[in-house]
Amino acid sequence: MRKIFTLILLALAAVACSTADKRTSDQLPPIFPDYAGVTIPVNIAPLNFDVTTPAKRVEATISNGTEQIEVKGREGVRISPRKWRALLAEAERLTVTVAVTAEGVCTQYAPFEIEVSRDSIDYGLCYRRIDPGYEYYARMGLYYYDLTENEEHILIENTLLGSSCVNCHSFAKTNPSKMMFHIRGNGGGTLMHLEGENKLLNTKTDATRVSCVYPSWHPEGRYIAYSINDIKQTFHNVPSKLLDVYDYWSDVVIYDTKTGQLNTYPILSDTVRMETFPSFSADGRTLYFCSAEPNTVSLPEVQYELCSVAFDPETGEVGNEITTVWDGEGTSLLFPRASYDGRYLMVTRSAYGTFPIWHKDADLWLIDLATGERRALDELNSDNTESYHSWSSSSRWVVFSSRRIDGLHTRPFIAHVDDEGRFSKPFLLPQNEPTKWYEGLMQSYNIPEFISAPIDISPRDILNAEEGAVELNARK
Amino acid sequence: MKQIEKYARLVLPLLLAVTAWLFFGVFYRWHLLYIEGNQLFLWTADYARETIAHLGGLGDYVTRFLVQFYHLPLLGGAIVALLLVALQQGVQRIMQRVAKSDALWPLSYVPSVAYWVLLCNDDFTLVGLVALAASMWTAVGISRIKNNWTRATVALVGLVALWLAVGGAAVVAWVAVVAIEVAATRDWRTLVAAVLAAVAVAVMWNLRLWYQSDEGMVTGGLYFRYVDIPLDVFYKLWAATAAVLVVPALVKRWVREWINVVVAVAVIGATAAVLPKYYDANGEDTMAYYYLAHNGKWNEVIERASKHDPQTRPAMICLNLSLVMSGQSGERLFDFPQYGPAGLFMTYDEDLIFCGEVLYHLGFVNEAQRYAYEMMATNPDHQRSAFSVTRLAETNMVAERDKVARKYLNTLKHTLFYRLWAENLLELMDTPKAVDEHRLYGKLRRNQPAENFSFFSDKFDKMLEEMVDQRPKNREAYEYLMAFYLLYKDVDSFAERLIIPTNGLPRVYEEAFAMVCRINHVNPATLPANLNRATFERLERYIHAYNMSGNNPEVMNKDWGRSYWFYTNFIRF
Repeated sequence: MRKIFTLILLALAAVACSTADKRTSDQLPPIFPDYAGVTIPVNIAPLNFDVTTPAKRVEATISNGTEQIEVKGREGVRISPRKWRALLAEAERLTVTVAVTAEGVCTQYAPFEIEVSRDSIDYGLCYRRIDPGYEYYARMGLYYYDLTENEEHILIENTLLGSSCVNCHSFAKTNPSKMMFHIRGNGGGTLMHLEGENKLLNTKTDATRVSCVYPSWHPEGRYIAYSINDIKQTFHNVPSKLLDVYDYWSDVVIYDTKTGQLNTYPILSDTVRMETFPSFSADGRTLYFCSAEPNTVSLPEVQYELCSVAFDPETGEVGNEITTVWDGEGTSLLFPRASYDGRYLMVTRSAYGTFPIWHKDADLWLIDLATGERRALDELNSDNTESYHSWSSSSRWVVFSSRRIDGLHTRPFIAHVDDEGRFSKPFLLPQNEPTKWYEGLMQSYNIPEFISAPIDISPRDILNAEEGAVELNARK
Repeated sequence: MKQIEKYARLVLPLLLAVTAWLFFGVFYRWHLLYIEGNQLFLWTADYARETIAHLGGLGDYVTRFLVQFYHLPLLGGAIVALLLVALQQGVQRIMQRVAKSDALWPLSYVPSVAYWVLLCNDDFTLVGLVALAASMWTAVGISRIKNNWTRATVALVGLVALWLAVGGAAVVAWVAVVAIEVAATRDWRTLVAAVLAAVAVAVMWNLRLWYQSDEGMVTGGLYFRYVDIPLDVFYKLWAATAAVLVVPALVKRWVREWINVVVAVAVIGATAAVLPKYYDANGEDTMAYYYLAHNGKWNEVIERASKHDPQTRPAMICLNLSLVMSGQSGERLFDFPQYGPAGLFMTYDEDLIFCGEVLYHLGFVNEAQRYAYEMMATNPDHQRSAFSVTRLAETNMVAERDKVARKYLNTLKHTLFYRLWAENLLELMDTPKAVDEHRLYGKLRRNQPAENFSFFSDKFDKMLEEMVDQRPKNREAYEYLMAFYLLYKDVDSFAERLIIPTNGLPRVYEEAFAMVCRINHVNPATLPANLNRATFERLERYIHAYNMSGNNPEVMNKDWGRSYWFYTNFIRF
């Protein structure tokens, strides 16, 4: 039946070529972004695309087996959101046929399919856009993107606060009513947005020496684990390497939003090892983190192990024993992120160091928490950098950052995870004008995080946030 | 007197236009080129949308559009001159409407002259002038509407729209509209409209719809490049402009024609007296050095330095780089006053702009890329920079990061003045081996370090040693390193690295080598035949003259000031 329908589609597309010389190709159409064979959520916004070769006209037919839409454009395809939603509502898969007219010849390409998952995706993504620069930064901001409408909204831009740096946005299990981000610079702090109340916290204490850095919310939303890092940079001179970011030292602390206390623990703040990238497990009873011996002389020897420690949400205490979950086997393991259903832990694996975005070898790996099995996520990885990643609230979608497009500018890719733990071919974050947007954008996407609803913070809320400070609580 | 006044009214706008045009187009041309190079106006809808989408954004966009023509300084100067005249003409028309006479009309030049002075400091952008001129002409336009209801409606919408479009300078338009209404038209509807417009602005201000700081909200547009906007300057300027608009109406009954002539003379005199004080000659000179060095015009840099000694450290760095790049450092390094190795490099914290050129041309391509990136990131008005983006395209192309290079080049294709350059580079990249064989890019590709090492700007001489060890054929790095040794007076390291070519040494190297030989009691007769024995004889004459002069630098400078020996004996750093 599907074959018959495909043939009908081909015939229809051939009709579209009627005004020009016709040619058929058994190749997939040259489109950007590459949507051939991807799996998309049923509630995603239209997957507009452009052709990457010179074109006078592009015609596409998109069918779900019973209904179809035809779209025409000059260099790409812009799909009506209304028609797209209707098409997706009952679809299991879409078949897309593309014909490209150039220089009087209409080339009919082989159709490709898009799987439509019934697993809805969260409302959107929150990310930072920033130039992939070095020490200084220009205009930057935190933004959130409505995945169902292809619309970007501003959460904050650094022009609001005199060119400060904004970073490390984080949510309690994708919930935007429990969120935080840091504002660095004069008048900065950690903006804590808790159920409609905004506080700008100074998280630096005499004992911890620096402000809190990389966060992870406890799934119940009371605690936030942070690393505190003394971050340095070094710059390389050969074409294949630009720079490295490393920690001079780092520890892990836990902030209690209920008491306002910043808890420190001897086991997570010794001087023998560096602890960073804390991440709570799905049940909130384990805290994962990465740990390495400091070595500022030879960075390639700094390799982080994946560790864990027990955590008691009732008392805020951590266990007395650190477990090495995976020693990395001569590599560095970073950004542990547990799926919210408790089944998996995803990490970034790189040859060394703590900042894999500058390492082309950095790849995503998956650990099955039930069996302890681990594997490289070849379905997601590319020849270039894969780095930060996060799970959707349903744990059926992951978003990760990758430099696969041009080797420098990080872009978010989304992939589906099925019941068996298989990942679909990832797709680039859709845009209304994908080529124009991504080619023109000289910024990277940082820290893509799913959010379950729009974020309700205005510039005025940020400016009027009540200032405060954390209270240090050194646990024994 | 009446004839003089009539004549002055005709001539003065022309005088303003021509002098401002010459000032900016000729005497400030390097400023204009530098300002233009620090922005990147793209002819795309996205760029327009992004630029306009904040308070005062339209003023920013129009200004950036105009500033792109600074690329041709005479045209850029004409644009600035026309804006100054437009401001003056707008002010004059409002003064006439308010006073219903020509009393004190020469004061209409005061805001333009004030802005002229401000523009001598390149931190003050053209946006404020565009905004003020737009404000004046908006008020003129509103005042010309005869129908009271129409004028009131346009005043309400126009004043709010003006504020949204150009920011804080709109307050002067508000004053003008109210003043004209109170003094001349006398209709309550426009006054109510003006009040309502002010209320609307206050409400929007309070809503904080834009991601702009408190200070940024006052000006709206980027009137000043840095975050710390000197608001008092703008307050004074706007207040002065407002005063110019209304004062003539208050004093007109006492103003005679001769007073207008006296005021005109006073304004001209004050302008002539004040402008030279604000003319940034050092800045102009330094920007000239940068622009010429950035574009690889080495001989022009040297020629400029030959006429006037470089006055700033960055200019000195450009000169020394030019001497090395043109292969003249060994011969002419001390033809120019040298004050130590500081004239060769600065640390990362001190400078990103000039040293970025040094790094690029000596083969430190990754570092040059970092400097170009950081130069753009530290651009206080957050704009992309043509200087940086063109350099980033080059560094990525040289380092074979082709996709990134293409991204920058494709962006440059959306500009007016860099499109052809970008297309040529894309064509170069599309041609196999063309980059390798390119005179500049091929050489840079070959000159990059072969093995990795971390870069420290405060140890640049060590970085050069590492580079020369790895890339002995990198002539530029070698000569820069030798210049470092010479300026440090480290003749031992110099001698250790010295390579004596078959055709002999250039003068400066030979002088330094002769000195080393004498210190180490080497008999010149035992040295290779391709060394010039006359240099050794000159050294003896120098020593004799030195002993005879009683260590007097002024006496020695006359005959020996261009020698390395003079530098080692008399220059302290």
